[in-house]
Amino acid sequence: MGFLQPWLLIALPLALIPIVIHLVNQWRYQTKPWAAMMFLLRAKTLDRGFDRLRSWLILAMRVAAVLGLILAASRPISSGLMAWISGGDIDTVIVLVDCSPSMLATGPQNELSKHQTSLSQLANSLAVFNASKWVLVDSNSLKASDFSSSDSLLQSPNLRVSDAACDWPAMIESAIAYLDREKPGQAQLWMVSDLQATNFKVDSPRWDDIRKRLRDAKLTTRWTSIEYPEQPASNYAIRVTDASWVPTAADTSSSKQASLDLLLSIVVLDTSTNNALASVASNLTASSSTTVPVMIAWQGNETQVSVDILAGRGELKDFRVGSVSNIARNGPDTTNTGNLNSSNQSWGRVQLARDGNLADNEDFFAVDITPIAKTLIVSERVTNVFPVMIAAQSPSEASTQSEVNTVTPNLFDQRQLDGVAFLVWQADLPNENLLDAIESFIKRGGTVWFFPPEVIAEQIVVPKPNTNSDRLAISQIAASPTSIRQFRWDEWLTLADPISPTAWISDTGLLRSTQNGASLEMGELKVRRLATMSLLENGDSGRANKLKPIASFADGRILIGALAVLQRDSGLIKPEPMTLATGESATTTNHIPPEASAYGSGNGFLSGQGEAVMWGTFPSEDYSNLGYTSGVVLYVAVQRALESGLRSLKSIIQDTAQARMPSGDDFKTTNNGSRLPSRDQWEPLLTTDRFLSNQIESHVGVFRASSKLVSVHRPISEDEAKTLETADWNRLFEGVPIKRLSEQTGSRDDLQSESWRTFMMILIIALLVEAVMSLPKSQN
Amino acid sequence: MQTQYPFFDPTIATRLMAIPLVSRSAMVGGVSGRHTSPHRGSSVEFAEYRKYVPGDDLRRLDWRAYGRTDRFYVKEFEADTNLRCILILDSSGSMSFGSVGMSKWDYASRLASTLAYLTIQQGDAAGLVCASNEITHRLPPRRNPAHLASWMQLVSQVSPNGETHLPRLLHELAETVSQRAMVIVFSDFFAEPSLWRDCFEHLRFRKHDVSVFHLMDPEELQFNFQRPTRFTDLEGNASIFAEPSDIRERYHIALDEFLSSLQQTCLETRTDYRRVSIDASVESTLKEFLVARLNGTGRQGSRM
Repeated sequence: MGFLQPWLLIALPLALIPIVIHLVNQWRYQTKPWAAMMFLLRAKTLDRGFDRLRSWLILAMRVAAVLGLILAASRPISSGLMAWISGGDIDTVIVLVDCSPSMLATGPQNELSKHQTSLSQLANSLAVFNASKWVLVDSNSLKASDFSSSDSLLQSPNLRVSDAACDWPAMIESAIAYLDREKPGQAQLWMVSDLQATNFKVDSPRWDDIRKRLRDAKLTTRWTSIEYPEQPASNYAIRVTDASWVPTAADTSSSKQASLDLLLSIVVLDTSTNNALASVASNLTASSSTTVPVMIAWQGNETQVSVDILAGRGELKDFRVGSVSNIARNGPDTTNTGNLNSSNQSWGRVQLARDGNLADNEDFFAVDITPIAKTLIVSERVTNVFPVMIAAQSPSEASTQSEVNTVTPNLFDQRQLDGVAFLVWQADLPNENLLDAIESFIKRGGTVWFFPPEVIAEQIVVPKPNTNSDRLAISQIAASPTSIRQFRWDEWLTLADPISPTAWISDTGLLRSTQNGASLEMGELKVRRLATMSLLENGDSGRANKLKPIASFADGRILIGALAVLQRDSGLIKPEPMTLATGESATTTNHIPPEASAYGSGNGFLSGQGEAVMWGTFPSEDYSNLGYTSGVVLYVAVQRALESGLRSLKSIIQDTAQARMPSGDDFKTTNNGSRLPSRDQWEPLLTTDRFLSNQIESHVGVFRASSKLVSVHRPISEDEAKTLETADWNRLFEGVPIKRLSEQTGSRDDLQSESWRTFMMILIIALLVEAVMSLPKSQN
Repeated sequence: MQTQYPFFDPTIATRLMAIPLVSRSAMVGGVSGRHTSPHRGSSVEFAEYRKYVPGDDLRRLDWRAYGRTDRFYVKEFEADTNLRCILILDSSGSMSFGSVGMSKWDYASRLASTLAYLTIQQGDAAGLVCASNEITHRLPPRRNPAHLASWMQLVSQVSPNGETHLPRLLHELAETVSQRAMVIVFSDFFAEPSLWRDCFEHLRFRKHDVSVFHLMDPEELQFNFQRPTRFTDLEGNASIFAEPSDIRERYHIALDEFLSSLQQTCLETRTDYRRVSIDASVESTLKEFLVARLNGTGRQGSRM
């Protein structure tokens, strides 16, 4: 039984007042000599059961009325009452708190943020529990941390709002793991969230297991969800989508002494109109625009620029922030291969005026000179991949310089891979030594395209030296760490009639649709000769490392296949499930969060991983029309591969704030797959006021990690104001008895304020019953 | 007019002297009086003709009847005699209760003394029996006016005390009073109604003309106490603690059952029943009693 004002319980003895009055009344009786004793005795014998109880019931009602008054004034909490009724004391209180940036949003009409409101209400609510264990699971650490009291829990620095998104499945799993590990008798579990839909990851397969475990834990655990779904009346979110140096137009002739202009691309979203109804309203009033001032701080200067918001979105594309003359003593080394002079690095901040959410009013950028987009073509005959070479020589970005080198396979040296962003291999698969070099190239983030040899010879599979080759059959070689070793070209097929691919991945990767949603015209591609490909299966683990088709024909044969992509920890992951586009009808998928499209997709801030792509034909006339009528497809794919490979050469790493990594890691892998020194070795250069040094990965800003700069951004999902639908909630927590308390942001009321009404009802009922029972009986 | 006996008011007695106290049945007295006797006598009230039998006084032959019928008839007349009125006062402790400035005993003394005065004044004999757990005082019926002083003196010496054993004592009196008499009982009759039925039937069996004055205090009738009260028995050491509001209803139920039962008992045993609240006027109470009896039948009634 918990009370918000337990000191009022001191007045509980006042409930004895009716009894004392009764006793005093009895004590103050009069003595009456009486003659008609026989009637009194008779009256006593006529005393019926209810009449005998009546006086005691009246007395009990009076006591109940006083008790109800005192208990109501003591502000009991409902859950405590339920616990009282069920006869169990709370042993452990577990608090799950969403510390994502969206929790800094205020309500429509107040100054307190959701986070402040929740802490205030939690402080009042948790203080009433006499629990022996206090556990905090916050979205910053995703760990269950023990505290000695509710005060120490609420003062934990982990409760500070960070810039990392909240992962509710992970937090709940952490809480359940704690429950399984500690096995408390009676646990009270509080979830504090703003119901941001993206935080719940409703499509995550983890929910099935979570739901099952929640149902198992419901007998000993009471769940309460405190929700703050209200959105601020007005809120804008800002995000830097690109930052780059470009030579000043007037100085392009003298590259060595050129001054550089900083170009900045910014997107501002009106998140208060991001929900469905507001979006419709915005679209209807698309003609009306709002201007939002944006302050850009760079090199000690502050520049204010206005961004027009139309239909909830405003964009500033390649805004020239300023120029730096003689930025380096020797100027940008345009011949270097990625090891840029640190003096070329710069960083800054963009900021919005104060609005409904302070957390999304800032973003940071770091900029360095873009390295040369260097392509290396290893080919038996250059004409086989000549269109690729042409496409690689023509970068899509004017600011990017390109360089293409060709070499025959027998002259290829792995040292030639230094500084290369894009490798094209048209020959027999490389030997073991070269495979290691190519693997390292891919892990570094480079992109490799494999084209089949002109003549496919019988494959000689050479296992890695450190494997026990004596006992390995060919089918078992697949256990080697990279799948390139499992890949093989089967044979060349000459098709009587050219065929076109019927399905391809359109939401990501090389063949993804353009920013305006238009699908690449893969249907126009005609293939006359096709080299079939296959992958040896992993017989040991039973896990088939299937070749992932990027584009395939109707009969299932693969035209373009993705062999492997880099994984953050072990180097390899299975390709993410993707949705194939069939013909011209491309379908959007959830592979990239839909909200990402608000900022645009395909830029270096959002995606990009090293990969090996297998092409089943040549872009030459005898094989296909890739280099001719379908040259656009090839050009786009080459530019995307080049862009992906180039990303790893940049000294600027784009990353998003995330929950704290487990301690002990020497390296951190960013969203781009880049491996960086662990967070302990990061040096903050520019961060927010909310920055905590022990949560360095959970905060946005610019950090120096070794020779690179890490520009950490807010997760895109945090700018999505959509809240979890009731149907989704019911589906996620089906069969789990969770009490939901929807609170107003800024409310200073306590979470269980409704409980006193119960006791007031008891008081009123007791008084009514007492009054009815005390009524004199009708005189007939 | 002042007397040395506070319970006797000569003024009331004087005003009531105009109304005779009559018996509802024949009395057997020692001298001639105004009451009907079961025997034939020499009064002017013709009773019946009876055949002459040898030995009858020839002076009582009705010669006119002989002339008409040629048979000898003796003409008989009603005998007038006096009555013996035995006034029985319940002197148990319960009679000491009173909430209107006088106790039931006081009220009973006033009624009884006035009736004794009226009885003796009309030439009848008045006796006295005071009974609680036993007959404490007893005065045989006398019609001598000097007897009235003894009667008054005796009553003045009695104070109500002890338990009520009036039913048993009434049985004793029924046995010990040999001749027909008017028996008037003054009591609160706080005993089981079935006991009274036996008593009254016993007295009626002995040809007594029985009347009862059922004396009740207004508090006993209304029971309108408000505060918790410890009721102590006037006839013993028992006490009952009660919340009056809790038991008021049941008290009235029990009281009503008792009153109706007692009244029904008196009706069935042809006992002249008078329920009297002691806040009523003594004079009016007696006037109703006397007038009712004068009308010949008496009645069972109450004066409350």
